[in-house]
Amino acid sequence: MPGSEYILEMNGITKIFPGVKALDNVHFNLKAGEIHALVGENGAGKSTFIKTLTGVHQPDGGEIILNGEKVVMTDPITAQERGIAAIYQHAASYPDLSVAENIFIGHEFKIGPFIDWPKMNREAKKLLDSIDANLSPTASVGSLTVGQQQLVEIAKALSMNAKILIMDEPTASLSQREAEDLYTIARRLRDQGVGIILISHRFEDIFGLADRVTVFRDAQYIGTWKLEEVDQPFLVHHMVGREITQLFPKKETVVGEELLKLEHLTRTGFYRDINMTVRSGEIVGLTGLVGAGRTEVMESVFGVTKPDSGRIIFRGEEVKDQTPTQMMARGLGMLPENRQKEGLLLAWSINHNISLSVLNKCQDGIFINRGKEYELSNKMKELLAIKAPNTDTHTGALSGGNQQKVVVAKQLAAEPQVIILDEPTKGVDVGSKAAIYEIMSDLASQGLGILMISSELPEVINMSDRIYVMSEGKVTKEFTDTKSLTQDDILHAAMPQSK
Amino acid sequence: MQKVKSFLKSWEFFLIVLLAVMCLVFKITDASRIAAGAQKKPIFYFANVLKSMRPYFLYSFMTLGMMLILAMGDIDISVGAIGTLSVVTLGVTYNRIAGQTENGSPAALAVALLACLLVGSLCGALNGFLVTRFKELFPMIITLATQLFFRGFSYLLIGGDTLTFKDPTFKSLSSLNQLLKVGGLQIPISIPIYLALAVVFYFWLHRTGNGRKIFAIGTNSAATYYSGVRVDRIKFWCFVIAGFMSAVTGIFFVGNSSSSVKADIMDGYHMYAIAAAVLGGFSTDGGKGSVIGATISLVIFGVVKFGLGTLFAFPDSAVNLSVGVILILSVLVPNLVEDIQNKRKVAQRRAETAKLNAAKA
Repeated sequence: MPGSEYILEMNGITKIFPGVKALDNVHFNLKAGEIHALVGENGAGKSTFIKTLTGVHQPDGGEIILNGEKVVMTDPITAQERGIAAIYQHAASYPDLSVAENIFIGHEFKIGPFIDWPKMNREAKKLLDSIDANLSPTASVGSLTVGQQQLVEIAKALSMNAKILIMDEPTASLSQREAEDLYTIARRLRDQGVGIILISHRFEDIFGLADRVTVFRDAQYIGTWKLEEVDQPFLVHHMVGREITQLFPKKETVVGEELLKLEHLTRTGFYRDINMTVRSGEIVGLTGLVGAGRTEVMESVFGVTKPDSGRIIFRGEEVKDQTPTQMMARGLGMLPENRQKEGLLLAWSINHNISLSVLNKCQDGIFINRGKEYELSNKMKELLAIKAPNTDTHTGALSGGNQQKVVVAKQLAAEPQVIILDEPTKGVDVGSKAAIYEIMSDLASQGLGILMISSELPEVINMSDRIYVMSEGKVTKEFTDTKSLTQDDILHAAMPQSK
Repeated sequence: MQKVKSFLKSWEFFLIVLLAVMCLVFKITDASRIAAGAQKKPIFYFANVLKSMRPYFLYSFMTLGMMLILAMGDIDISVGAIGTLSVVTLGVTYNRIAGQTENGSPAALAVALLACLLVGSLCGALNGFLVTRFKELFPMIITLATQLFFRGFSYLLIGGDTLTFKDPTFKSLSSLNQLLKVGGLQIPISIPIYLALAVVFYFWLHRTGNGRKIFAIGTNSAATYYSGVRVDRIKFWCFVIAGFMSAVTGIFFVGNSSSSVKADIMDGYHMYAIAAAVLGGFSTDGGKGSVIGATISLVIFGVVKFGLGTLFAFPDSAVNLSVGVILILSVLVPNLVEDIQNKRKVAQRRAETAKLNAAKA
């Protein structure tokens, strides 16, 4: 089809995995110089779709037409050679190698069999400058922030003359500021004629960047629209397949006694002089840029690391030499940010995951009582509406949202008084987000104190009763009135003062 | 019905089938050799195999300890060296207190045995401390280092000498090596002792909360830690127990080696301990394995060694080779089976889709 306006057309793509149809006759097309968002809930098939384009998976049906020519992507290298590049949420490919090495990996400049280092570093610098990335080509990639690592990945894509750039959840691990920078670069690349496929759960990304949007749901193609034709509720409706009436179901609660109090808590190099309180019935938001020290403070409270000085007062008692075991026994729960690595045993069933933190409650003497164990996990599954055939289902087979619910269930099983949620909706689709917010509201109304670490400003503003903002290891602002707060107010407090 | 089905799919069932097939092959060989006149009487029959299991169950105690370590996703290759050092300690202590007297001293033997078990546990404690303290180092490397350390220490204590004790008190250790006569059967004493311990380990690992936590650590130690489990404490004690079990193994070895102690008495035996646990379904990835499977594996190794050694006159080295082959196959076969099953499922789906598409058109 010469003269087609599309540089990429994917028609009727079907992909079957053992036991599941991951893609069912889906379509997608891309013009040069456009940003086309691909959205859908977790499990809708976006990732599989991208993998059929990048040659990781071979489709079982359908055709890929690249620049009017039907192609078969036999492997990722073929896709690369045809100008398709991808950057992912967790960017770093080779953290121990330098920036230049990462950019030119696989197509290094050589003199005979030897690498031409001066030229490689020079060319790397040129590419980095072209996207305004002020990075040293010789720095090791592992030492960079996630945002900077993504710039390296973009430079790598450019080094291969990518005509199609896939961005998979590029802003999920970025602070607002870094995300803005990424937007600018994406727009510039678009204006230079690169076609960008953007996958994101964040509506800010989609509405801020994309020209068109395609929705997948349950492995099916739902539709493609121009961005000016749609609004957020419309997209949500098509992604979820039902109306979500209220994304932030905040209940009025009675704020009670102080449960957690931090006084001058300091850990050198991570955070300093932190004063915070969490009261019963309260949802406290803790936000700031990635790297501001939010998680580090809470890890010390939970007993993962030790603070150098300051006091932690939990339910009226000062705690010292705390460990996670001890803090959980005192009534503190923590939902770690990385739920797949720190939250769940993916190879284990829902039942075994939930009971792990409260095995002593499921035991007769030293022996596990399976009846009690199932009773507990079934109760939790029902309480949190975890979608699975039964509690014997492996957590690895669940969607991100349901996995998160299992992690919450695990914490709730221990009957905590205070629960720390670190990025509870990260990588969770919109339907499950609403469900998690509802759970939070319910818990607060039952008198729990909730501390939510989050970079998602809409959820911070809409769910929190009070908000702490951290920047460079310090609390820079506390907002006690969240009603009239805007994202700009928070961003202002979150920006490093030195800049 | 569901239970029967899941048993038929289980690894233990596969091991039982493997064992049965081996026995069948050896039985047939046995019969055909008699028919051919190569031997007069049958060799491969239950009572004879059982009797000959003696040397193969010596390291079974080490296997028990290794199960804990593998279930946590770690590995301990120093267990052989721990056994040696424990035994050398036993010999040196006994020699120091009782000397080479005619009758020996039961009190000295008791002290020496305690010292042996204590040293084994302390060696395990050192491993446990290093593994939990230096998390950035692989347990393989740590225990490689401690292995060399323990071996060196053994040589430091007795050099290249062989300590031999002729007094009846010390010789009583060899009773651990005798055969129990039950009915018409002769059972190596190590087998009932092992079975008793295996039952304890079975209930511990598969039925108690603590056992569940051990497997949890092997599945995902970070998530287990965030679940409030004292990961380091459990790890430490598992290494201590592995060290203790090595010392126990060592005591059986002394009984086996005509009451003499050398500084290389158990070198390399950790390999058999690991092999039996791995064939039993444990893996260095952690989080899986069963005491029953490992027990069947010990029997399989015994049967293979006995069968190949007596019926086929394989030298010991060649027998080791076949153990290696079984081990490799045991890792490969399940993967192949899964591969084939997956391919079949995909083909089925494809056919269904093709049918649907045809119907649409």
